[in-house]
This record gives sequence, structure tokens and C-alpha cells, in this order.
Amino acid sequence: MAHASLERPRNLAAWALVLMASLLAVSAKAEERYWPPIVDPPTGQHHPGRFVWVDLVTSDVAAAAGFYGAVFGWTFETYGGEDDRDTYTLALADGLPIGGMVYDQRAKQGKKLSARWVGLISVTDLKAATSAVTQGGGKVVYQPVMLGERGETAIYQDPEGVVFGLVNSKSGDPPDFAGDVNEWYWIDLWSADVEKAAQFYRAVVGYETVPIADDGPRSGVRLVSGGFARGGIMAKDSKETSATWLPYIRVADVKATAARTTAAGGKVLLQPMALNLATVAIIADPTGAPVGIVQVPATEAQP
Amino acid sequence: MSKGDDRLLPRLAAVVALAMALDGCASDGGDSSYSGVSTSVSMSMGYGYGGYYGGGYYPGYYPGGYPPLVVVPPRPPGSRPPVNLPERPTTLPETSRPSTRPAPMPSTRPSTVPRPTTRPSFRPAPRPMPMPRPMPMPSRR
Repeated sequence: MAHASLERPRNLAAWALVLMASLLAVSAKAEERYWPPIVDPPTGQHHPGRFVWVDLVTSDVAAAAGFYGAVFGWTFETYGGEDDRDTYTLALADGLPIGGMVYDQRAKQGKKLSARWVGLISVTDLKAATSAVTQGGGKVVYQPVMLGERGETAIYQDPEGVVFGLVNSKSGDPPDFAGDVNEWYWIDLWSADVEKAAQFYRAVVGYETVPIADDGPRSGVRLVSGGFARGGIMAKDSKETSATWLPYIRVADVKATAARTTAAGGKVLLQPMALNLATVAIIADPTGAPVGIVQVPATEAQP
Repeated sequence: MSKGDDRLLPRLAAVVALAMALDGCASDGGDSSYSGVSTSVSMSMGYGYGGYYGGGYYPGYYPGGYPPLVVVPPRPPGSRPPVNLPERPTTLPETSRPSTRPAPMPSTRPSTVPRPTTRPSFRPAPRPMPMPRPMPMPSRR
């Protein structure tokens, strides 16, 4: 028995060594790539809790870029090697970098996978936030690493499995203004349990949460940091609906954007809907990534 | 411990070394299945930008891709008693409403603050956009 008890730890140690070596190999590869800065030129500002970047994970970067170029007028710069599946495609709105696109490695088998935009939230202490993720029932998809010019970044799943990222931007965060037309303006988390999700993101990011019970039967909260609403969590109203973060792009005309969506090969998942002074719709790009669009009058965007 | 077990560590170390060496040149053959620790796992994990977002990173991470979003159209006012308000599909604040006062949106960029559309910092030369991915053709029997 004594012999057997010594044997198991030795085997475990061997497996642990292999696993650690594998993880180190991953980290090294990610760090070797060029990751564009969050802001350029650097601002040196940090606005913890603000969504400062969004990346699209898609099985067809070219098709997605063609769609967003046609519908929102974005332009693109692509970085990486010769392999089309190992590139980072930077998206720019009127010359301003606002996000990126990467190839989904799960599509290698030829499957057409549903794509998703993954948002990155600004934090200043990634180590503490990562600890809060695991303590709160989330999972670490990619441990914090320094990703080139982007800064220290990590990817997680919340307790419902929803993917999100945290970043301590090397160049700082964008100045704290709402997005202009064709830029990111808002983001919602669709959750099966609003309070549980709110508790998780309060612990991880340090948000205050403000209920929005007076806005209708679909309950929710807004996530507040630095005195500003950064996004919200709302109850998903159907079991068919998956939990997800859903980012919104500000547009000049929701109806016209919806029309361009279908013309460019996308789908309109929620027809344009008036909300007091704003109008919203939800669309999907040709690779399946859902995204909201919102039209707000200039007076509404400048309180 | 058997002789086979004694050889496990060096064998596994060799496998890892091979995986790390091949990592930069993995291609179509990359397998992201998770039947334990294997070379295919480490190769798919470390491969490129896309692997960063978790494709093949650990078991259970959306192995079939992200679930599609199903949107249920909101019901109009009056169709869902007792609350006679439209269902909002978003938590987006409207600054004209009193309920948003504790959490206003940041203001839009004033015209006096220029947008930094000229980027001065060094960056690599961009390369051509990836080519569209051809859909696989169904095989004929």
C-alpha cells in the first residue's frame, strides 16, 4: 500500500507537468502576436467597468468584415502571418479603432459555427478580478497574459457560461464619451437569473447596480461605474433564448440600417422598435453574430 | 510502479516538446477533441489569434460554437396584464426618463474634442484581408 501511495502522486506530477507545459505553450503563442492597442495615441486614462473593446469570434472573418463594412461603413486592417486563419482584423469606424475580428478555431472541421461578439471590460487589477471570477462560479478560459500593445487581458465564462473579457489596457482607456454613430453605444447581458448575474459582475468588476423595474415587465438592472451606466443585465424571456452579452452599435437610422442588413446578407432578428426617443433593433451578421443597433437623437445622447 | 509507468514522464515530455515545436505550423489537421491530455489539444490551444478566445481551450467550452441567439418579439402594451408597458428589449437608458437619473450615459464627444483618427504609434504593416471561407461541399456516395 505504501508503494502504491507513492506511485499516484508521481503520476499526477507527471500529468501536471505536461498540462503546465501545454498551457505555457499557449500563453507564449498569444503573446507573440501583434495585438493593437485599445487607444492610439495613448490616453493614460482608466475607466474601470467600461466596455472598452469588442472582438468578433467568427468562422468567416472576410464575410463578416464585408458585412460590417457595407452596413456600418467600417474599414479594416489585418495583421498576422500568411495563414488566413491566424490573423487579427482591426475594425475602424471613421478611422477610429473600435474592435477586431478573429477566426474561430472550432470551425477548422468545416462546420459553419454561430459567431459572437466578445466584450472586454476595463479593470485595473486583473489578478483580483480573476480570483473573483472563480469564487463567483465563473471559469477562466484564458489566464491573464500581456497581449502585445493591448495590455494584460484574460477571457472568462460567467456562471451561465457567457463569455467575456477583462483588460488592463496598456495604452489606457478611450475618453469617457458615449459612442458616435457607427461605434459601440451600449451592451446588455441576457441572463436567466438577473440577481445572480448582477452579484457576479458586482464582485468581479466592482459595479453598482441600479434596478430598472419601472421600465416594463422584463426585469433588469443597469451596471454603473464612475457615475455612468456601462451596460445592463436583463431577464431573457424564453428558454429558447441563450444567455449572452449583446452589444449595440449606434446608428443614424435604425430602419435604414436594418434594410442594409438584409441587403448585405444579414438577418433582422428584432424589427425596429421605438422606445420613447430611441429606436432599437437586433440584427445578425452573415456568420450568425447577433448585434443590437440603436438610434438616439443628438439631444438624447448629450444630456 | 511498472517499467511502463517509469517511462511515462519522458514520453510525455517528448510529446509536449513536439507539440510546442509543431505549434506554429499546425493547420487543417488540428484536432480539438478532448480525450484527455494529448498533442492535438495543446496544438489547437496555442494556435493563433482565434485560439485565444477559447476555441479548443478546455472541455465544455462551446465545442460546437456559440449558441445562436433566439429573439422573442416583445409583446405590445396591454397584451400582458397587469403591467401595461411595452416590453423593452434592452436596458438602454433614456436620459429623458427620471428612472435613469442615478445612472446617466456618458455624454457624446464635444465637437471641441477631436477624434484621434490619426494613430502615431508604431505597428506592423497590415496584410491583405483573409479570403472568404468556402463552404464544404456535400460528398457524393
